[in-house]
Amino acid sequence: MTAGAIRISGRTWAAALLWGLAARFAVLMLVVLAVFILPRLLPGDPLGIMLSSDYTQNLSESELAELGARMGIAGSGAEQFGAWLGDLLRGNLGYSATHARPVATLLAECLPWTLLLILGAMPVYLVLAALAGIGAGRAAGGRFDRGLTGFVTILASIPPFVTAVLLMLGLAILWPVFPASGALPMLPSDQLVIRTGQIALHAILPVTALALHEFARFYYLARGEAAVLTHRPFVLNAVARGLPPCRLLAEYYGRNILPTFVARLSDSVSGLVSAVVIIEIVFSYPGIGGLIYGAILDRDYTLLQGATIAVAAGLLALNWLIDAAGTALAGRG
Amino acid sequence: MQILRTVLLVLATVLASPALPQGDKPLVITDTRGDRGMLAPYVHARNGIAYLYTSYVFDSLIAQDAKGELVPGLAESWTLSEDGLTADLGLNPKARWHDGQPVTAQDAAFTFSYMAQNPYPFASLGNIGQAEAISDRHLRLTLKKRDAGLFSGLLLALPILPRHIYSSQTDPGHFASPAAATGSGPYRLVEYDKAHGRYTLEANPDYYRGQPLFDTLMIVTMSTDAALQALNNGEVDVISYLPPERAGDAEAAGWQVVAARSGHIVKIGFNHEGLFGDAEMRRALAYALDRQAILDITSTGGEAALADTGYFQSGSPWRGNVADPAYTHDPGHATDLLEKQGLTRGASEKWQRDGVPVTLRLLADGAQARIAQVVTDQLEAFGFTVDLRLMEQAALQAVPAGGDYDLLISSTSTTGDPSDIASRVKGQSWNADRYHGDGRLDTILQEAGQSATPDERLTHLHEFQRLYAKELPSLMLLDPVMATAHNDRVELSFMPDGALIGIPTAIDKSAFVTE
Amino acid sequence: MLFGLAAGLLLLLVAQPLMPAYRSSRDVLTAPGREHLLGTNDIGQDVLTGLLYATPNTVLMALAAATVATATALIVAGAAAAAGATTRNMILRLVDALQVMPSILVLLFIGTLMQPGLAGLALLLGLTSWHEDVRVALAMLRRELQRENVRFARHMGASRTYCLRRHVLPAIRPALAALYLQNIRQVTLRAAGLAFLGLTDPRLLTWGGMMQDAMEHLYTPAWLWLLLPPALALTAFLLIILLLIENDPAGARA
Repeated sequence: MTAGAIRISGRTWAAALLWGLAARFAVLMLVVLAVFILPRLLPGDPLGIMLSSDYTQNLSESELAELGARMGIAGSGAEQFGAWLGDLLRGNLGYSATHARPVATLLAECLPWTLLLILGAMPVYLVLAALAGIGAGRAAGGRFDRGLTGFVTILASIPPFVTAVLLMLGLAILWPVFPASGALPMLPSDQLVIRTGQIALHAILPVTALALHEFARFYYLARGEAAVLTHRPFVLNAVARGLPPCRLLAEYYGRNILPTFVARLSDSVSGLVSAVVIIEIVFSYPGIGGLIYGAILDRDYTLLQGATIAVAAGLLALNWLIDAAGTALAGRG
Repeated sequence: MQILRTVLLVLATVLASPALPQGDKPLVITDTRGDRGMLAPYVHARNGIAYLYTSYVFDSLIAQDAKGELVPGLAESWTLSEDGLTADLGLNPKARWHDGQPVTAQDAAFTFSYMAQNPYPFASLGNIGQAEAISDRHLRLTLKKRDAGLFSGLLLALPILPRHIYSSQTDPGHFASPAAATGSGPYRLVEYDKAHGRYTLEANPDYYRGQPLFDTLMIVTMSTDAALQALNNGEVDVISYLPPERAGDAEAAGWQVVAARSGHIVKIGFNHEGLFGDAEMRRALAYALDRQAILDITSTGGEAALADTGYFQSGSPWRGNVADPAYTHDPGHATDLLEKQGLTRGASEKWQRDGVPVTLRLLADGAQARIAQVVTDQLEAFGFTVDLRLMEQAALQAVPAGGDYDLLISSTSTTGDPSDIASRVKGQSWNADRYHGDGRLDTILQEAGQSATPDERLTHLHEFQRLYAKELPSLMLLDPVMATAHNDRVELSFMPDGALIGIPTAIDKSAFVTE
Repeated sequence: MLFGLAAGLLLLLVAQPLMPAYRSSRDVLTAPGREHLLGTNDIGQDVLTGLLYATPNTVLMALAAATVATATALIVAGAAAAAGATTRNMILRLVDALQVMPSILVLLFIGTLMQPGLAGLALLLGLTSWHEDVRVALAMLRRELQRENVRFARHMGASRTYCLRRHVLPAIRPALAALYLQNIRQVTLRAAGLAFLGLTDPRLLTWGGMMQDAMEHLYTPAWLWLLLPPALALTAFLLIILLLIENDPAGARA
C-alpha cells in the first residue's frame, strides 16, 4: 500500500466522523428545541402545581409574580429560552425548584443507579444469550433448539413491564425473597461490605427484568450465527480433530460471534434505555427514569429539560464513539 | 441454584440483624411517599406532610397541644387591642435557635418582613401592616383589618426564621444547605437522605417548652406492606398513614390503630357559569346521585365515610351541631326539579334541553378515577350522557372557571382555621368551588373574619354551614378516613381539626414532646 | 392465522352493541365465578367484559400505528432513493441519529401533553417508530430499482409511477408485510407500556390500562383475575405476531 492511499483513507475516515458528529449535533439541537417547547405546551405550569396543595394560602398577585420569577417562568417565551440556552452553553443545567437542588446534582445522584442496572444486566444477558444461542444453533432443529427457541419466543412476547411486575409479584410479594422497591433498605448499613450486599439484593430483580427483556434479541442473533458457523469447514475440521469443547466455544464460535454482538449492542442502547426507564418506575428505583417521570408529573420544566438533554447527549456521544471505533477498526483491517 | 440460595440466605440474615441497642433506639416513623424535601420553610416539598415535618424543626409564635388547643409557642403571651388591629406578643426568653443563639422579637419581626419579600405559600401576610420588635422580648403586629383567625390561623402557621442565618439569603429557594434547617423547634435535623427519603432528627436538649420525648426521630419511606412487616419486627414504631382497609391487619398483630375522618373531602364541583348555575339544578343533581352507593362501591374496607354537605365535617370544632340535608337518593324528586328547570326526557329516557340531548362533561382528578367512574355510571343510568375526562392536577389547574366542563370531581381540605375558607369557596383554584352566587356566603365569611369574639365567629360560621348545604357551591361526596398504626412507645391521636394549617395527622409534634 | 385474527376482531366489533355495558356495581372485587367468569375489579366492573372491549381497541390501534410507521418509512426511503447521493446520505445520517434517541423520552413527553386517545395514540406511535425501518426499506427499494426489468422498462420510456406500481411494489410486498408485522409488535409493546404508565386517555380501555389498574391489587389475591387476563391477552397477541413473522420466509428478525 502506498503512503497516498493511506492518507486518502484517513481523510475519508475523518470526514465520515465529522459528518456523523454533525448529524448527531443536529439531532441534539432538535432535542433541545423540542424539550423547551413541548413542556410549555402541556396544560398547567410549575407554579400552579406548586400551589395546588390544599394548604397553600391565597397569595396576592405580586406574591405570585415574585414566585414565578424565582422559578424561571417569568417573561416571554423567547426571553426564557434565551436565558436557559445561555446557561446551557455554559454547562449549567439549571436549578430544580421542586427538589431545591441543581439539576446536575440530581442527575449525578441518579445516574449511578441507572448505570448499575444497565451494566449489571449487560454481562448477564450477553453471556447467557451467547451460550444458549450457540448451544441451540449448533444443533438447529434439534430437541434442545426447538424447546429453547419456543421458550425464548414466548419470553420475547412478554413486554418488559409485565416481566417486571411478574418478577416483583413472584419474588417480592408472594414469596418475599427480594425487596419490592428502592435501591437500599430503610436503614442502610454503614459497613461497606454489608451495604454492597444490600445494594446487590435490591438490584437483582430490576436487573433480572432488564436482562430477560434483552436476552431474546441476542439469543436469536447468536443462534443464527452459530447455525451458519456449524457448517463452515474450519469448524467442521476443528470438531473432527476433537478440539476440547471449551476451546471450540471460545475460539471458534465466540470469536466469530463477538463482532456481531458489538455491532448490535450499539443499536440496542436506545431500546435498553427505554426498558430501564419503565423498569425503574415499576420498582421505584431511584434512577434517571424515575427522575424524568417525576419531573413530568410535577411539571418541573428545568429538571425535565436537563435530564432529557443529558440523556440524549450522553447516548449520542456514546453512539458516535462506538461508530468511530468501528470505522477505525474497519479502516485498519 | 443451591449456591445462589445459600448466598441469599446468608445475605438475608446479615441484612436483617438489628443494628442499634435498645436504650437510645430512635422512634421510627414511616411515610409511604418518598422525599419531602429539605426540612426548611422555603425548600420543603409543597404539601402538607412536608410542612408538618418542617414544623418539628421550626416553631411558630403559637403552638397547639395534643388536643389541638392553642398554647404558647415562641410567644408565651399575647394580647389583642380593643379594635383588634394591634397584637402584642411576649417572646419566651428561654427559646434558643439550634445553634444556641437566643430567639428574639427581632427574629420574629424579620420573619414577617422577609416573608413579605419572599412569599411562602403556606402563609399569606397580606393583612399584616407592620411587624416591629419593641424590645428583645416584645413583638408588636399592626393589622390592616380585624382578623378573627390571626392567632389560630396565621401565627400558628408561620414558622419563625433565624435572622442571623436568613438575612444574608437573597434567594431562599436556593438555600438548602444544612444551615437552612436551623430552627427553634423540639427536634433538629441531623441527616437528610434525599434519594431514599430518609430524615434523622435529634432532640433539641435546650428546648424551651418541655422535654422532647425521644433522643432521635427517624422518618423513613416504606410501602405499607413493608412497613407492617417492619412494625412486627420492631424496626419501626409508627406507620403514619395506614390505609384504613389494612387497619385490621395491624390490630390483629397487636398494634394500636387510631383512625379519624380526615376532613379532606372528595366533592363534585360545578361550573357555575353553565348548566349548573342555578341552585335548583345542583340540588337536582344531588338527588339524582346515590351517594350511599358511591360509598358502598368505593369504600368496601372503611376507607371513607359519607361527607356532610354543609362544608364542615363531623368532628370539626367550627361545625354547628345540626344535621345537614343529606340529599338522600331520590330520582323522582330529581326528575321533578329538572323538569321545573325546563329539561325533558326524550327518546330512550335521555334528558334533553330545548330538544337537544344534554351531555355533561365531567372532569376528574386522576386520583379520583374510581369515584368518577361510579358517578358517571349513576348519571348515565339516570339519563344523562356523560363525557368523562380524567386529568392530572396540572392539567385541571389549567381549566379556567367557566371553562368547558359541567362537573369536576376533586378533593380538598375543609380543616384548619376558617380564615381561608373564602379562598376555597370563591377562589379560582381548580379544587376551589369557584362560587360567588348572590354573594351571601362571601358576606357571612367576611363577617366571621371580622368577628370580635370567638362566639360571634362561630355564629357566623354556623350560618355559613347552613347556607352552604342549601346552596351547594359543591356537593360533598365522601370524607376519607385516615389511620395511623403505632406500638406502645408513643401515645397518638388525631387532632379534631387537623394540625397547624389543618393537616389531618396523628403525628403532630405535640405527640413527641412532654409538656 | 391472520384471517382468524381479523375475523375474530370483526366479530367483536360487530357484537359490541350486544355486549353488556362495562358498568360499576356493588359486586366489588368478586373472584371469578358463575356470575362473573373472570371476576370484577375494584369498582365492580366485569373483567371479561372489559377484556372484550379492550381487545379491538388495543389491536386496532396497533394495526393503525404500524400502518403509519411503515408508510412513513416507505415514503422517506422513496425520497432517499430518488434523491442524489448527498441528500440520501444526509437523510440516512439523520435517521441513524434519530435511532439513538430512546423512543420512551418522546412518548413520555407527548403522552403527558395530550393523553392521546385511539387516533392520537396510533399517530404518535407511528411517528415515533418509522425511522427504524428506513434503512431496510431503502435497501429493498434500491435493489428493486436496479433490477433489469425496471431498468429496461425505464429505458423503454415507462413513467416512474408505472414502474413503481407494476414492478417495484409487487416485488417488495412480502418484505413490506414482514416490516409491517414487526411494526405491529413494536407498537403494541410501546402502547401497552404507555397505557401502563397511565399516559393514555384513561377512558380508552386497553390491556395495558387494565394492567395499570391491577397494580394496586398486587398485595391481595385479586391480582389473579385483574392482572393475569390482560397480561396473558397481551402476551398471546404478541406471540401470534411473532409466529407470523417467523413463518414468513421474507421476514427479518428484530
